[in-house]
Amino acid sequence: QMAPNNTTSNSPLLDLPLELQYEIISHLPADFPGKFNLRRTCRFFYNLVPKPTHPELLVIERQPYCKIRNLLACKLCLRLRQRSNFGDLMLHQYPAWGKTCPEDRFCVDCGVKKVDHWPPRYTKGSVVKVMGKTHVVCLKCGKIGVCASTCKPTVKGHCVGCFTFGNVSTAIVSISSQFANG
Amino acid sequence: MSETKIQKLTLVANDGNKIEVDRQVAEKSVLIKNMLDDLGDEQMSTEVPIPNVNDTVLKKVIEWCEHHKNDPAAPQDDDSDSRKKTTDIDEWDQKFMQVDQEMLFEIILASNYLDIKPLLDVGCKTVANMIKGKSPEEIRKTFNITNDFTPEEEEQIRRENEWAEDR
Repeated sequence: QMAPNNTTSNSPLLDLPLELQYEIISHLPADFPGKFNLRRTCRFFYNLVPKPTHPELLVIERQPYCKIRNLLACKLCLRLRQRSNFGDLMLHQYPAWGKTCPEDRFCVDCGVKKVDHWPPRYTKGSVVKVMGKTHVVCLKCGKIGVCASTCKPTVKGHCVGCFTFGNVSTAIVSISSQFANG
Repeated sequence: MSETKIQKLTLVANDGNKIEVDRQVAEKSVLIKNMLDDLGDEQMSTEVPIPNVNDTVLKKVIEWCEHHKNDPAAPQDDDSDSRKKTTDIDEWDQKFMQVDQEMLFEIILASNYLDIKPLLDVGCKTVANMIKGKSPEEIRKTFNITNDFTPEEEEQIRRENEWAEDR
């Protein structure tokens, strides 16, 4: 059967029978960007070329293209993301106590939101080091940001934004209530 | 095998042009080979119509078959992955495939119809080589593909590929 282009598309590649398009894609190298740039050209190829799977991404991230650009795979959004989008504990190559191996790595953005009905991996108030800087999932705004404790050691659980520009007293009240609740 | 006398076949392209080839050359095409096996040798002198392929393309395909007539038959197992994993193309084949895009795709279609697997592979690898290492925009230009994503889809793709520096 022909590609679903009811009219002639003027593109011999799009007009090829589906089996031959698959054949061509099968010859594209497994490295990056390989077939994935073809996926980004138009709707037809977007649907034809499958999204890279997590095991594929783990292989891809070890290739020079990604090494040069500091790209790593996130297991939750299945994207390649810059190193700075991951917590420092996510950056280890081998499993170790308290550290995460590549298979389990997820990015900070995925960490703070619900994914597939799972509660967020990083709960409010949890501290995550990113690029050596202490970040926190802010108790007030719920977003991840540089922890206010980096400026003022006594203020915990709030990002710099909420601490500086928000109502400080509310922040402190909420902290104390947090402590009171245990 | 000494009694195998070299026989000639006449292939008729869809525009009526006749091309005489050795049986050995024509049998690179599994379609023709199977047809000959099925019909038996008494049919040998007859002409073989190739209705889906025009004269220019057929000549080109035969040129390839002539050059490769002594190649060992490819392993029949279709799942041999070694064939797929590489985009390396033999030097002669590379030169052979230096044709305009229309011709390239005609050769691919013809080799698919005639069931000449090694030629189909060379064709598909050539196209794969034209795709690999190119940005989406370069691929669109090369193959005359229209970007038909909606702005929302564009945004989604941008998020999926935030690493891409070629936008």
